[in-house]
Amino acid sequence: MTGAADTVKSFIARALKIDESAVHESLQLGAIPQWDSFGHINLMMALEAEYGVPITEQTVLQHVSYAAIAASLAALKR
Amino acid sequence: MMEWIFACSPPLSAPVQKAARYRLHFCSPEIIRFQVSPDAIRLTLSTDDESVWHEVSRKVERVVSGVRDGFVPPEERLYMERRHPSPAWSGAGVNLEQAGLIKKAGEGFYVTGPLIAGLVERLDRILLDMADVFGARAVGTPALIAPEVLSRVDYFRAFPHSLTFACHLPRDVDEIEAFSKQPFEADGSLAPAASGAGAAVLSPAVCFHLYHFLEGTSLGQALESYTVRGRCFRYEAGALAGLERLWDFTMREIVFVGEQADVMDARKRSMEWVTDLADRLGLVCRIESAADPFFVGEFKQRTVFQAAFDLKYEWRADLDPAAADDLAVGSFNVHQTHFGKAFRIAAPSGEMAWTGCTAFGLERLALAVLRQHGLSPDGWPEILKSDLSVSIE
Repeated sequence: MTGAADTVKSFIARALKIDESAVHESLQLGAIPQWDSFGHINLMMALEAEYGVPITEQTVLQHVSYAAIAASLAALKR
Repeated sequence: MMEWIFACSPPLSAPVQKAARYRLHFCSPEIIRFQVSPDAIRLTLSTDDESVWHEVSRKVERVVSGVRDGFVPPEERLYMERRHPSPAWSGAGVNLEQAGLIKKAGEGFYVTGPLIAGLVERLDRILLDMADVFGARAVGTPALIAPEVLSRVDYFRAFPHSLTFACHLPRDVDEIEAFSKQPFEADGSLAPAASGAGAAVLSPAVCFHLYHFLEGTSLGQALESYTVRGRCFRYEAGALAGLERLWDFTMREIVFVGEQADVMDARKRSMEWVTDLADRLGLVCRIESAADPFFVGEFKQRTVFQAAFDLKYEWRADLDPAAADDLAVGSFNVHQTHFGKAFRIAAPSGEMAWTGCTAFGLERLALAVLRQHGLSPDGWPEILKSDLSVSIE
């Protein structure tokens, strides 16, 4: 696993308060009980707090999967 | 007393001013009145004590920064708008209490006389036609709700400011007798023995009871519909105003429980039904996206989430011909699996059930009719004049 993937996994696990082993690349909103409406709110808050991604309707709708969050974090690093 | 100006930099946008105005009512009991403008908030405090001033300053800063930093401009979605030429607006500006149509019974609660009570009943019977369209079954609910139920639906975090607790005297003969002899303090307030929070809350919505009723069940159909009417209690502090914003009001709800697609479709159909009703009532109104009045700490994340997932629309009616004042008379809500999970309600697919509700504030809807069509039933639309076996005379 790459460092970048580690970062994404760790970030999602912390925000959703789940074990990193439960985070995989096909994980998305609604796939697990912790990533429900409120879990998603927490995830967006963490995204803003840790990476400065502002919470807007677009970002809330955009970051609904592991892949989308990974893509955003990768873009931020470039 | 002390006048104090809280400077706002950068200036507050109109929506932020509106959000701040509502929440400042819950900021501090020392604030007697306030005015919000883009550049400043002018406050009148009950005291000129400097330590109080500092404390109020801290609270105002918290409220203002909470709504300003948390405010995300919503993408307004207009579902429908009606500009009927028919309203006479003969009820606009009329003071209903001075006209003898309502009587203030306390701060935020009113007795409605026969005209308005009769109108409320007629409107409710019309709304029951919508319940019939969905095959909704009636459910009876109490005015009280257990704190544990409200906690499970996360109400304490989202709307703590609007809670109304039911309390009773301690089970102590001395205290009961002392209260019976002197129920009021010298300043007219109730004796402290009667002011403790009790084991129940006056319910802020009627549908919570239904989800609790369905707890642990598996639905037999992709969509189950229920209808509930009951009293609701939402404390609004200084924002309480006539029939526009009551502490104690009557709500009619049509509640949908089932699979995601079916609940979403039911909400859409209910919006279509209300659009037709708006035409029959000849109301100047609109249905547009909206957000609930979440409290400061939960404001940002919840409003954005509601907007992003298109969870809430309101039916808003104008209260004056200049459209300077309007009022939410109904709402169309989807809660995703929030309540399905909280109460373990399963849809036929085995997934957690989605829920939605279309809700109407009956006194508010009656007020919109009165403002637009006047106080005489002769001027009301035909739908309200037909024989509904409810006397308004």
